[in-house]
Amino acid sequence: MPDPIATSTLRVNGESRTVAYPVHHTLLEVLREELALTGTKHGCELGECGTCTVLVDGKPVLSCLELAVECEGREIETVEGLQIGNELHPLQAAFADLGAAQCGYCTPGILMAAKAFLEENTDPTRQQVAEALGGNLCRCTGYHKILEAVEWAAALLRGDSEFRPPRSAIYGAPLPGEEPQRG
Amino acid sequence: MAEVKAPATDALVGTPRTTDELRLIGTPFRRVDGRAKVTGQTRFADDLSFPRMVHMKLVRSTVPHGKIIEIDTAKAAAMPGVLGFLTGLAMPIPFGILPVSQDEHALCVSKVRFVGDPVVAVAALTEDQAYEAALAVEIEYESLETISTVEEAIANPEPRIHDYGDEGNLHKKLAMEFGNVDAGFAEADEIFEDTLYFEGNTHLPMEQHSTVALTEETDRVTVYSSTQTPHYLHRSLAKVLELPASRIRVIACPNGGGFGGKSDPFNHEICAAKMALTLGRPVKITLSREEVFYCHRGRHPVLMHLRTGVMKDGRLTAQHLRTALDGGAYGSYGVASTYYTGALQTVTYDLPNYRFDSIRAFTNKPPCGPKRGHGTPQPRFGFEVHLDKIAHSLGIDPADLRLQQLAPADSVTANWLQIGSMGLGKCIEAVVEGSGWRERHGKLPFGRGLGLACGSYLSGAGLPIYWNHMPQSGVQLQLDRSGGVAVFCGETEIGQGSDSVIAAIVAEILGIDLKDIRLCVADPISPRSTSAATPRALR
Repeated sequence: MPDPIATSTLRVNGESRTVAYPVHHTLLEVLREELALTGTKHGCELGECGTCTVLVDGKPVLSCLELAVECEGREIETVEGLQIGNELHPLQAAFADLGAAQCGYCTPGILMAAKAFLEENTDPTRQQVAEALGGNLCRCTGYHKILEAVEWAAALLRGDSEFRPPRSAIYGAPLPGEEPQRG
Repeated sequence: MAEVKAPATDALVGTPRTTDELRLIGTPFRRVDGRAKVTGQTRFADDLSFPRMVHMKLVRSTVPHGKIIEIDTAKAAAMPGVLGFLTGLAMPIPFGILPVSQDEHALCVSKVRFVGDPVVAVAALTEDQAYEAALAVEIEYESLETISTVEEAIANPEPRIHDYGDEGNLHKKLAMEFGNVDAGFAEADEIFEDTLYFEGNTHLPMEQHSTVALTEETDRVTVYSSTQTPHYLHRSLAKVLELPASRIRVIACPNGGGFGGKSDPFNHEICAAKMALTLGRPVKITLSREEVFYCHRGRHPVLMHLRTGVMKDGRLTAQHLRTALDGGAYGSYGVASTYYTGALQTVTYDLPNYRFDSIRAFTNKPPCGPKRGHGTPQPRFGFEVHLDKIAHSLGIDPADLRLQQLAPADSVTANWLQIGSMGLGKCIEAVVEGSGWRERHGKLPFGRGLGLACGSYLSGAGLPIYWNHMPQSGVQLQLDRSGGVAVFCGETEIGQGSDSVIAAIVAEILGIDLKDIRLCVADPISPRSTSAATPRALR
């Protein structure tokens, strides 16, 4: 028997998209397969790794455990919606510049979890960042660079011009107003 | 055939530039793939989609060791969307990463060797349909005795898991001696012995392996895959599919982490190519997380015994190391891993006399293989724990025991490894200083401790797997009329930053901007690279 098909109008990154999909498909599958938004990744599809994290109504959600039919009428945000025009969101810029995205596979999920967190806490401690990202696994970085990038993004977002990431953390572009220093 | 001579080294390198003369190298810049990775634009293998693409699943063995008696696909074939099946009979030629261990099949031909060994491939219009059809395939096995540990492999030479190997269920046996070990033990004031066990582990890259294969003509196929070693996959595909290598193109997508777990050519990659050639449509397979554990190739569990002769002042006079590796069901890189459990034991501390014996056993478990540092972390753990116990017994500070007998710079070890610089002493001193070692070591309250362990690894691949005199890696540059430069290189971006390093070197030497470079990497139409043996590309 063919799978029953659901039809939904989803609000994704501020845009309304009408999709038809097998009713048992998760938000992860519908985002990647019906909407071709492949920026959202899958790591375990069991709710263990955080890789597929997206925001639903501003809260981090594991899209592998969320049925798409339950998301109708809710605001869904994915990594593709993070950019502001052709400019990177401060979180994206910080991740790129501080080497927090290595293979880049866990990055979209971590960016989304971090975005939701920084909207609640604009000046977090290292421990608070670590706890907020506790559900997201990364195998490349050892996490330090991710924590440093979130702290740096938080400073950029709150307009803190005094904050500087540690010199050892700079992999990417020079800090504003500074000449690049040789490593 | 005429021997191909490598060009003289100085012809390749030119005059080295000093740090001051470098414009880009040594200065921080945003990774060239940084923006794509933070915007979701990086295209991993499972992000690819092609017109008319269909999906494939593998039916995997449910018994650890057995003969395949019957495969019945009739029920599955009648299910909606099902397009075709493959069994081992379609691809009887074996493959494997090492020339000495060509022991894998794209699908098991007559017997299965671990729970998860693939037996049937099924393609269907949708992934759900392929999944349902795979569940409906019926396979009858005649179970054979399960060999589950090294001890069982030694005790049971029969039934053999493979019909090759050094003896019974022992894949590899080796014994080596350097210097005069007996004289070294005779000279020693004391002899220490320890038996230690290193549990195996797996890579767990966040990205599950994925492959998409598509045909261009009846006998030309392109394979996109999450592989660290596109060139070796290319070789295996040519062998198993019986196609000229020039008609196969393998493109390694950026890997969502590898750590060695995507360094073997895999059965699902070959099945996807075969299924695409059979159906004439693009075929995708993405493994579930459970299946990634079946692919495994993780760090070998190693049982090890160390016997070391030591003078009263702590100086080492000789060591006899014995290791036993639980290899799992296939060869993989296991022969190399076996040597690796002994090869680097001499590199940190001066060890004048050294004996090394090892075995690698076949067992009915997912195959072990290369994982970060290959076979060396296991004996390293053993040696360092052993040294701490020696230091404790002799009443010498463990940091001092190590510092007083570092392998000297510009020396050759007992087993003929060349040591260039030796910064380990300064490293230990910095750790001792920074950790408050002298004040804290051995003085912390119960349940708290401060420890120190050292390790070393070799830099640069010694040899390619298939020995040849050609350069191990290279790049081709193509200058176009727009002023841009295309860089063709066989290196695979797995998160280690190889794309950035390659682009920076080219931009530095040509004196152009990074943004004027286009990379065409990890594709056998580019010059080959030994493989993304993880971050080796950067050294």
